[in-house]
Amino acid sequence: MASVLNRRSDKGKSYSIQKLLCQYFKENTVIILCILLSCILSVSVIVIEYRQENESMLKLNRFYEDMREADALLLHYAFSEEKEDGQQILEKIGEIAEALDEVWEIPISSVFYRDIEDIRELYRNYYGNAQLICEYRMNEVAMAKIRSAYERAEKMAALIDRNFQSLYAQILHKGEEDAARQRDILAVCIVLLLLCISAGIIGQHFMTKKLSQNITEPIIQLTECIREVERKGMENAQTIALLPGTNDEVQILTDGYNAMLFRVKQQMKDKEKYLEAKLHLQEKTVENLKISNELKKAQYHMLQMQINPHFLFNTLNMISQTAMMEDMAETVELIHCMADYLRYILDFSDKSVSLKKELEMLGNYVYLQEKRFGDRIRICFDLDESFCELSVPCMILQPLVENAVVHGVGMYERDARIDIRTRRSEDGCSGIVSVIDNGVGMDAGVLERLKEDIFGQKPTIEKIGLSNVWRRLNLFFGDRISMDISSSKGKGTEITIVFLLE
Amino acid sequence: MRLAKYCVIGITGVLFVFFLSVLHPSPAVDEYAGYERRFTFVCPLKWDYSAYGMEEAAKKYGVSMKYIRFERLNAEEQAEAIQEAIFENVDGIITAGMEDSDGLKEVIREARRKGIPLVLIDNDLEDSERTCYVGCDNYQVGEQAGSELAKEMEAQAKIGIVVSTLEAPNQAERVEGFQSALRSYPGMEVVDIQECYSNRMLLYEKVPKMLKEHPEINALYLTEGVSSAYTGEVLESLDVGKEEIKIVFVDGMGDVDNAIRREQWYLAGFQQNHYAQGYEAVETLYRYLEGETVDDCIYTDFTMYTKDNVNEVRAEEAGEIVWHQY
Repeated sequence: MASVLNRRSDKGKSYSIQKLLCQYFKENTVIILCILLSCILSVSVIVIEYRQENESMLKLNRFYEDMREADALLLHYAFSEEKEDGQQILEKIGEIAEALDEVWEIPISSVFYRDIEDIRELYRNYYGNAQLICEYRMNEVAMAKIRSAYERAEKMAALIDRNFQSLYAQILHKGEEDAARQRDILAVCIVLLLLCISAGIIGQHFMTKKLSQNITEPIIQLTECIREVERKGMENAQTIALLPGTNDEVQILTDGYNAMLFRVKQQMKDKEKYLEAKLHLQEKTVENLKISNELKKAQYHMLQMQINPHFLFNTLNMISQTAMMEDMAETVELIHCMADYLRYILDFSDKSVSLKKELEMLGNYVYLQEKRFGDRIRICFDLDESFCELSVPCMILQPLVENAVVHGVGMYERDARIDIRTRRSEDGCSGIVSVIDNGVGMDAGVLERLKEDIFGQKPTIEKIGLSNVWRRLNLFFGDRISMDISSSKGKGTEITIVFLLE
Repeated sequence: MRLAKYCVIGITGVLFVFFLSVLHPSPAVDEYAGYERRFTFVCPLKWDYSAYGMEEAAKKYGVSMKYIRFERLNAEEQAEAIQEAIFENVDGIITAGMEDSDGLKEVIREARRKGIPLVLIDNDLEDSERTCYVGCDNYQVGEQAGSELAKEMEAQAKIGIVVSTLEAPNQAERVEGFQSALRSYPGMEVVDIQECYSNRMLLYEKVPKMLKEHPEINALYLTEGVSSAYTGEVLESLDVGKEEIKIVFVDGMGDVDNAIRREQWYLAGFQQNHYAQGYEAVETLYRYLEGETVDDCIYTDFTMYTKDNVNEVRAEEAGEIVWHQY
């Protein structure tokens, strides 16, 4: 997230795609310009060389034409009937020298210059003879002399012509050599061009690759990821990790996407937690309902037993007064006990009481039972008072003792004994209440069934005593309570309740 | 920007080639024409070795050389070419006196009249008005050829001689020298002399004829290049045995080297130093024009070569010469 925030902050740097594209086009343009330039250079090289060759040919031709023209004029002049101006002819012939000078300027080879030198000498000879002809014509010398001078001039012209052929051949040869050289240059140019072009293509390839890596690749990645989100849903989406070194718009988009994904995921997690908590709450509510339900059930049972308690109390008072009037002290005592006990049941059945109170009331019950059974049964208390203030649901001990009386020792004619003990455990963390009888006991199978009835999930209405006690204890104390029954056939039964003290 | 760099390098390369080809300094007219004197070599055939020697000397002395040659041996054409050089007012002329023709002598006289020095190489025309002769002593060559042949044939041989033409003084001298050497060997006898005019067709005609008329011939003396080069072919076409005929020759060219190596007919050749002749000719002309006195005859050396030293003697090479062919 930190990096995302960082990237957000430096907006100045966020035009790198633009920059990249600009650079790409710039380099492209440079390459194309370079290639164009080399093309132009190659072509211009060839054009220039070609023009040079053409110019040399034109110069040589001009010389040749001049020579021909002058020769024809000389012939006409030497033998015509009319008298013409010889000076004009000589001027015309003089022009040939200029043409020859121009030919001289053509750079060919030393042999070429040597030939021109020779031609120049021949030309001088020719010119001398032409001058002679003019002189003879002016002075009207005999025709034979003119003829011989003309023949010499013609001889020179013929020799010049022969040398001219040589010049022509040399220029052609030079042209061929140049053409060969041009071909070489062209080949080199083409090779260089090809190199340039291939370098350009390779460069463009790499540039395009780089460009696609920097722009296209992240966009594709982004697209793929978003498609993935559509397919798999938000919760399975991955954050996009771009190739290193990118710091452009796509990176910002990606960072934005990543941040969004992060938030969405967080919100989803929060929602999950909320749902979990809600579920937990519902469970708790259900449990509470269960507890109140159990309570109601217990109350119901109490009420069942509480049929018209006022009538019962009034009756008991009346009996007590009657017994007092009849001076029956023991009976009065018994009735009092009975009344107290009943009041306790009626007043506290849905409340918690201290263990001390519970034990007190148990004492009333035991007194009544002792009166009932006389010497046949002995009930002994062995109490540790250190945790007597522990609050417990009421009427938890009476069912145990009743059980011991009815099922344990009820059949015994004598020596029946029930011990009620409270003591601390050896480590002092828990208080132990046990009801022990030396009654008939149970064999292992019966005990197992009994335990199942009491501790099992399915409460049985029939065995209301023990299982009711256990459920109320369990509801009241939760994990901090445990109850155990141990018994052996013919020896007795022991019921132990262990309270975990704070 | 690495690419741009590559491109710049490429373009620089193209530009470099461009400058090299177009803007390279074309040789100035002065450079081509930077000579003081113009000499012309009128060569009866095509003598590359001599021309090469001339070229070397011309470079040394700052002389422009023009080389003119002909398809065929023709004294008239040769004289015309020399005449042209005289018209062109060159500073010096070199040629080889082939035939003892009047036309040639006339044109040499013309050159002297015009004050143009003329040097003869290879072949002298003794009564001409040439300035100087540069070449080997042909008489001596003939003598050596004679004694070599006598030695190899153990002084017993019937000999046929093939010359270019006896009118050429050098050919005549070679034959004379040869014959003078044979005088001390009575068993050696010259039975026939044929002229082939340095012409291959004539050679093909005349050699078989000579061998048919004189079947006793068991040795040949060839005094010039063309016959030396092609007599081997002729003998091969006639199915002449390897040992039947032995040859000594002057101025071998072509395939004679291999024939000597194989010892097939060819025994020994005499090689003029053509290079030295060309070089000496130019040098002599130059010295003459500088006002020095030069000898009437300058003899250059010659070498006899057999299979033992053929590789050394024939190793010399001619440079590139631009000929004007007439």
